[in-house]
Amino acid sequence: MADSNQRVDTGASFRQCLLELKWMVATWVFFFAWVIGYSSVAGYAAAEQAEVQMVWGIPRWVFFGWLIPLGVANVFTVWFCLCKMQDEPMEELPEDTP
Amino acid sequence: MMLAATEATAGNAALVSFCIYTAVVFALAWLASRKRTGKSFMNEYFLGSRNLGMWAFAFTYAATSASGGSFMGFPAKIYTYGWVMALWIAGYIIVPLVAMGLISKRLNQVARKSGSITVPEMMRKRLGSPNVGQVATVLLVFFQFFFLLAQFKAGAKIMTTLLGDVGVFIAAKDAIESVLQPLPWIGGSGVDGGYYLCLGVFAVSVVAYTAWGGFRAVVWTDMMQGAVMLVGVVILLGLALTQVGGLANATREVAKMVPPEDGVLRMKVNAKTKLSQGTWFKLQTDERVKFFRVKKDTEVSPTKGSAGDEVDVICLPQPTDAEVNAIEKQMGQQSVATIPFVYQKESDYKYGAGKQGVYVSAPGPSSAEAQGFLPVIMAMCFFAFWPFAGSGQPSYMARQMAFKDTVTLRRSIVFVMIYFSLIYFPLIIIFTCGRVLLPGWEIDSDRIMPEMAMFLTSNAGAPWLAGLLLAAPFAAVMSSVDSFLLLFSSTITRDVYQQKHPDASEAKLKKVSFAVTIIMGVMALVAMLKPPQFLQDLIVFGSGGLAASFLMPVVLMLYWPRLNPAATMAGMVSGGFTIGAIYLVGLFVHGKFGEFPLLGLHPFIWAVAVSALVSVMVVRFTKPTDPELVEKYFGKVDGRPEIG
Repeated sequence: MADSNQRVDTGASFRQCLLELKWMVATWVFFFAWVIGYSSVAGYAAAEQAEVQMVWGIPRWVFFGWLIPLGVANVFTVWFCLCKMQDEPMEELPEDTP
Repeated sequence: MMLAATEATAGNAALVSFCIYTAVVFALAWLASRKRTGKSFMNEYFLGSRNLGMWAFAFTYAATSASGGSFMGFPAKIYTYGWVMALWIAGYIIVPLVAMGLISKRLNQVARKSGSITVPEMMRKRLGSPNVGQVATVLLVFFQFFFLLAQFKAGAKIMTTLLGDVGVFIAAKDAIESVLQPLPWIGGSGVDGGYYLCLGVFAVSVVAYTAWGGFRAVVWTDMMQGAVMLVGVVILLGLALTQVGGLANATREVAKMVPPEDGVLRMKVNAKTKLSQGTWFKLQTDERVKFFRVKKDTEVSPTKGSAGDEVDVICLPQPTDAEVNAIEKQMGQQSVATIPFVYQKESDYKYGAGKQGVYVSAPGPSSAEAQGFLPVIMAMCFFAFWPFAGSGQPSYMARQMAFKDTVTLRRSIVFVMIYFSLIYFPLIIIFTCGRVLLPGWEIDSDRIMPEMAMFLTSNAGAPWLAGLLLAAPFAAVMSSVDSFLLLFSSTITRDVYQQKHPDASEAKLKKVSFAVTIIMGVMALVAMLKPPQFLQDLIVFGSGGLAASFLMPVVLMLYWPRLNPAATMAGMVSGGFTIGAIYLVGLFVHGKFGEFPLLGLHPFIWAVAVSALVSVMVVRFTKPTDPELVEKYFGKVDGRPEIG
């Protein structure tokens, strides 16, 4: 965690931001594969089923293809933001010039 | 008589709630304007002195994001297409992390280092090119205006339903209709005076408090509005689930439903008869019953021929037992004499006609597309669209410039994640229940949210609650409109006026920013006198255009030291142009404004790909960036500027 009086190291700060960006893009790829991968099979197959299959009143494909990923994404976001992301000292504002 | 009394009570309660809500908003604007005293006008009025804490930053981000689209357009789509909307919105599970996290920290750092107040200003200073700022300003104003338009329509629609049964409102509506009917363009027999009245009141109130209070007022009202939205959704969820008999029951009923048909009823009457929008007709044969619902207010006149007058309707060809019960309850309350009619079918859904299960599966029913509402490839596109288009929105970027430190950012992402989960999942449940409780709203699906609020609260014996529930979508709309107006105001004042008049006094800058807010509000009001049917199409075009123009140039500007002014401008223009061109092709092919999936892909994907490709290509063939700017924003590696 950064000390608010710490001097800003622009280069180090930039590289840390870039690293975090890579984590976020990788996270998106993971959830894309899960949600679209599962739903593109189960969700479209559900159109041909005579009876709707449900879990807790939710169509089964929505439950496993959206609600569970939503829960996992919540847990991951809490972990990433509170444990993985680093704080950086903030720049002093320069004089206002339009 | 009982129903009329209940509706009047609900209407009066809604009016009282609305007045209280508006009073609080104006009180916050007044407090914000007092807080501004003694501070730098530009920094305080447009960025709240860059001092937003966790609650303020998180709520203002969430409330700006949850717009009229979330509370009007999205419910309309859930109602129209069913559970497939969970897949359509699935990208939201990662929106807070990606849309807020991808660029926030870096954007805030670059904005502080350059002392920028607006996105075009930051781009101009980071790249050392006034031309970049000018191109960014033009694209921002153009696409953001479409986004703003949709919010004006949503605001007016909510107010129309909210005040529909209030005596004063009805009298004013009739008076406006009598004035407007003879006029060209907006006149005619179907003119809705209530809509115009509400559009005017909405525009005046939101423009006034935004201009008065500035960024801080917008943030404070966003906090209140964000809380109102959450409370409203939770109450609606409880009422909907109770009245529908549980979620499993609602899903089972929805699974049995088939999409409606479009058609006309030919009616023969002896005297002129007014039919209100939403009036039901029933046709009972030996085999089955069919219901028809009037699409818009219509006057039927006696005709000499044998065909009779035509009334546009939707037809429910195979209503379920739940739909029959709900419709017959509504028919018991309508006061229309029996009129003989003949039904003529005009069109059917291209996907899902007569097919059960389409509302609980993908791709969902579609009246326009034979492959259904959401083919797999479009589901993929939307999964990319929501988080990355969110990153590319200048209205969010303005907020990302304003948080005070990175602790605030980290905690806010967690808060927004939980907040969105508590908003979007319940909305899908609520409006799935809506299909069962209020059938036939395909005639004007954008009204389903306010109609549900009125229906659920009246049924629960608490019509006064309608005011609170309707405050939720109204809050969502207001919180977006105020942010967009401020974005216009800051961009035009800072990037256009102040560039030409760098020595302008604070008093002059204040006047210019107020004037811009008012002018943009008036322009949006005039444009929405003839609104399009689906709000969501305007929102997706506006947000898609902004993301197409800004996402890649801003991401590259923040993370790629080699990016130069020529490549940035080329990236912005090519992205914006691509999305505009694809929508135009769609307009020619389909004859209506809406997403056109070129080769099955969402226009946003094409536009972002073109923008990225053009930016990278132009960098290869143009002058490198000024090394001093690279060192200023990227630091040094081994004593030399970082070159990426």
